[in-house]
Amino acid sequence: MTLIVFDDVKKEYTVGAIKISAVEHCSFSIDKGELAVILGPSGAGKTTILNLLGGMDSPSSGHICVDGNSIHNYNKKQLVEYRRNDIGFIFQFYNLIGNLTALENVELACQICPNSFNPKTILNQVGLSDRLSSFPAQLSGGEQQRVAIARAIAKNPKLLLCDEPTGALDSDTGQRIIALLQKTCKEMDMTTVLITHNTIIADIADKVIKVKNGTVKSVTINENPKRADEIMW
Amino acid sequence: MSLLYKNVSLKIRKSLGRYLSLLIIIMVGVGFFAGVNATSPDVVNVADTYYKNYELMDFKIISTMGLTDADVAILQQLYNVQLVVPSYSLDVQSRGNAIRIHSIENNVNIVKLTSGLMPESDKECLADSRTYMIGDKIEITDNMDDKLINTEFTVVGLIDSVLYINNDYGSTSIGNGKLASFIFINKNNFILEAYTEIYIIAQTDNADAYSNQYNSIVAMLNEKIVEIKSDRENARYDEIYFEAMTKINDSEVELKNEQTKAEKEFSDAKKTLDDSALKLYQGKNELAENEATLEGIVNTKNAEFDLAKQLIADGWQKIDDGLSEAGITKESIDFHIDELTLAITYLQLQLENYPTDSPEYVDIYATLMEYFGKLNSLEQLKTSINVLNAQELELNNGINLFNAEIDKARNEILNAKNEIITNEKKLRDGYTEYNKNLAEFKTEIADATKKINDAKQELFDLDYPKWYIYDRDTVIGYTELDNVIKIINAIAAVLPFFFILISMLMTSNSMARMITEERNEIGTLTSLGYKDSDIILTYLFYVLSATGIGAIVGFFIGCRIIPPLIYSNFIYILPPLVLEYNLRTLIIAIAITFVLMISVTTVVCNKELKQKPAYLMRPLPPARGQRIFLEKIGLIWKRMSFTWKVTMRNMFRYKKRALMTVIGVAGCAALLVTAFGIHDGMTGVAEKQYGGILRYDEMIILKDEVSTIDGGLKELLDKEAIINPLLLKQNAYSCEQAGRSLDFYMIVPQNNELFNEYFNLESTLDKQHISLDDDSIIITQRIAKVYNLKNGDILTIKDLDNNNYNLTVTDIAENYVSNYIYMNTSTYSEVFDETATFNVIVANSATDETMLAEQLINNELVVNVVFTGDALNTVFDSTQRLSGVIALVIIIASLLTIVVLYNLTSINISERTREIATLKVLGFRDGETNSYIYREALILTVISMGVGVVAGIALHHYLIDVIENGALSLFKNIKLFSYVAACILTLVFSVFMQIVTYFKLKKIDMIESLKSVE
Repeated sequence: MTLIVFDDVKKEYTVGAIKISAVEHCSFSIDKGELAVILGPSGAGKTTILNLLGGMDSPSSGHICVDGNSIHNYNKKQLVEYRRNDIGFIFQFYNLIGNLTALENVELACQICPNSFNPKTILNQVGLSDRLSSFPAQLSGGEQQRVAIARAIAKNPKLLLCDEPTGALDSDTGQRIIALLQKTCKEMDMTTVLITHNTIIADIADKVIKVKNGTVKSVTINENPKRADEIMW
Repeated sequence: MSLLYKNVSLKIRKSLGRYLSLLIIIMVGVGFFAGVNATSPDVVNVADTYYKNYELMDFKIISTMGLTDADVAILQQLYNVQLVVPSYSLDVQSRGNAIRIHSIENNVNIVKLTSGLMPESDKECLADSRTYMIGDKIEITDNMDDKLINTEFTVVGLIDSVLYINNDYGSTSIGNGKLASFIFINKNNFILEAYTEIYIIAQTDNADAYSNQYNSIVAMLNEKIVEIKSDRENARYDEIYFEAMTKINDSEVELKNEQTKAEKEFSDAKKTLDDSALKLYQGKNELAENEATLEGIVNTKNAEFDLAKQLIADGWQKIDDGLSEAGITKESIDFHIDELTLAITYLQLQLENYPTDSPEYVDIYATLMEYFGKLNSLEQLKTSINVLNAQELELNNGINLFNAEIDKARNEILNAKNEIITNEKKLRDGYTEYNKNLAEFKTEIADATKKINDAKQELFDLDYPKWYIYDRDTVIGYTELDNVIKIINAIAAVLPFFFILISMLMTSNSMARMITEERNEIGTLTSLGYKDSDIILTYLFYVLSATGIGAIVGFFIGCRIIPPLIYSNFIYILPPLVLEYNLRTLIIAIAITFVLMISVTTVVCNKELKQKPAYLMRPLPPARGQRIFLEKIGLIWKRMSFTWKVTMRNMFRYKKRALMTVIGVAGCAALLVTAFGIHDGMTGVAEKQYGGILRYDEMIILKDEVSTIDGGLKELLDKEAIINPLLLKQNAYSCEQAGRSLDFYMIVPQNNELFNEYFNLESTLDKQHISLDDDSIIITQRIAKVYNLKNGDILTIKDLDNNNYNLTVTDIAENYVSNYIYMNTSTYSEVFDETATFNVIVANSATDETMLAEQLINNELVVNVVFTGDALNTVFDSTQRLSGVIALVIIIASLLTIVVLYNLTSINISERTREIATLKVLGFRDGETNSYIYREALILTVISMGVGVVAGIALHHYLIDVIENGALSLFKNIKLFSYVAACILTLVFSVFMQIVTYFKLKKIDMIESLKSVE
């Protein structure tokens, strides 16, 4: 079952009088429950695609359908509701609220979602049951990213979007985070889109969308995705 | 290096908002600091220059009996006296208004000619430019004949006088008691025997008016004048006494001379009259004698005449007998004679014819002989007749002559008699007139004697002259101006400091923030090998250029705008303000700014620069979250909603920012509370004093001290329907203790009950009514405050002649205008060892005030009437004057509140952009995102308001104390409304800034904000 459809999506930014297109002729689809990786070098337009998908930006043209909804037509307000109910976002630099404990960071997300999971359960699930009341500054990078993941999935979103989630982590920790994401995707049947420039990570994906110079070069379905603990970088 | 500065200038252009906000905050802070600080020097300078240029006197001495050249000479010799000018002034009525006429002086209180010319003749005058026009005729309606040569003047020049710097000219003892205007005329127009006043200019070493130096010089001189005061008063008394005495003696001598002379004249007149009377009497007797003699003569003569007539008649008888014998008549005798002669002749002829013997012859002869005989007897008879005829003729002639003479004599006597009657009448008239004149003379003498005696009595009753020594306080407006300046100084001492502190906090905060934000760039520069000092210098360049420009611009704008703004609220008649730019203030402001900015920038930069460049280039790790105190109180913490918990946590985590907000906003709120509070303190003070405390309608100042209301005074009060008059003794005293001097009135009422009705005194301690009893000495709050007195303490007071008295305070009463000490007559006798006499009446009345004032002032028993309503208006006006200053404080405090809140909000948003973007990505709606920030801002604002109110109360308390230096006290309580107004204003600014924030938040771009740090 197709959850996401990108159809000839184009995004232009206007800088002064010049129009720069970040992405164009961008088409792909992602099925529900799939772990998709958008792979490409820096500046290829990965983040723009993720932003468009996450409702943080609207395309200049083309169609974006998520779960049957044409989000490219959404106005600002609708986009907020879309992000609120359907999207879980994970950033390279975690973006936790430093002033809130791990638990509270998760609760912050939960309290605005009607179908959210119990924050404690989720934190337990990401292996932080003993760090519930720690503040971000007291946590390691990996732990912080776990909290970020917990915060994203606790909302019970339709879509989990991860922007270079391991970018700021060492390889071991990164691997564990990837494993966690894979596990979550599979166990909770949560469609996950992950951005990376790391081809190795692409091995764990169900679908690899290669992006270069602002357009989709190829969409490969990985018949046998590796388990996260099988990869090395 | 130059590239670094290029970078800085680019930075300035790029973040112009931040640069400008730095600049503006410093500008407002320094501007207000400099402006308010410049105000009182500017105003003092303008006033002082005015006083100096127009030689405002330092002292004015008036005496109840005029002043003399001797006084001038003595005063001239006093130490520190530069100039002594005797002069004249008179309060007169003109067209129903009371105006004061001064003599034009060219070396003291010089008039400022605003248009027209100086008078050339004595019929011209200079007049108040606010009342008169050139060409106006001013006619004096009082009778001033013995004081002025001319009583009608033409205005030839309009003036301002340094003696009148307030638009209220004060009071006078004539007309309705209010001085309406003033004119200046040539000195020789005055024909008074003594000067009405003496002006003294002290050697003040060019000390500024109102300065301590000036005040102490003047105070010293004042003491010197007080020292000679009683001598001069006595001298004047002696002078007047001896002059009057001499006059009386002269008059007495003159009277005596006159009397003697007149008496002599009268006795002479009497003698003349008596002599005349005697003469007349003698004349009358003589006349009577003469008349008698005359009649005697007449009788004798008549008898003689009768006899003679008898003789003649006898003769005639004989003749007639002879005739009849002869048979002839007298008429025929001649015929017979002729016949006989003829017969004889015939016979003789015949005889011849006959012989001698012839018978014929003999016969003839015999016949002849007979004939001869007959002829002979006839002839004899004829002779007798002739003789008798002659005799009779003679006799008749004699009788006629005699009778004529007698008639003449009789006529003379009659005339003499008539003359005597006339003279007698004249004499009677003379006596009548004499008696009349004598009576008149006696009356005149009695009158003159009485006059002399009266004069003697008057001289005996002569009061000692009294000198009144006035310093410049007597210039209406002089002291008030001082009070206003003091208030501005008090504000200048505190408020701008507050302002500058807040702006410093704000700028250093934003500077620190800026450096933190740019840590990455600092890291890059360090890694490129730039020296730390170079990097710091670029930031210093940034901050010092902003604050330096801000300070300089602020200084000039502040000095340019604020003093004239405050000055425009003054209603004094002073020359236009001359703006001065005191560079010292600028240097101080810049120095403070620079020291603070340099230290903040250096400290923050150094903190960053201590780090390794690599670390700097990584994003700043999130600050450590921490549990807050509130979490330990589970009861509260558990009940708080999640968002509240977040808010609380945020507030406590960003302590510095919260503190900044609280200090900034609380400071502004405090300023607002203070400003409103001072306004409260002023409004209603007048009403409270005149109506609340002093409850009488009018105060009547008597000419002479009396011991009770009786006689003419009672009649007057009854006639004017004065209700419940209460006699008071009101005298001025002063106190100098602990280096502070205070003037006050002592009031001694005749009647305690009425006093308690008219003077509603309330204790400052318990707000209970204080009634005046025996032994109570009640002082008003300002005296107690200044000398730190409590009930039972001793206050030493000084009268105008520098005698000291000790008073034991029994109560302290609420009071707002002037200072008073109250005691009753028995206490007074104990303290001063004399029985109190009274010089003032306070009372109520039901009649029209203006009418009453005229009626009373025109009465010779009354000097002046002061209506409580007028006093209320005066105080009301002077408090109104400060409203402008208060408004300025409110406006600037508001301005600063806005700038501070804007700055804080900007910093808040810039610091939390990432957090807010995260929330947005998480799907927080705009409202939710905002409330996440707002709740915090709102709580901080509320806390700030609380702190601000408390700080405001403290600041207000301090300022009120400073302002109260003068005779005016203010309410210490701030009204609820003022708190509410200050809080609402703060809240309004806060809400306004939240609206600005709302749009700023809306503009935050999630993607940009969350982009990995480059």
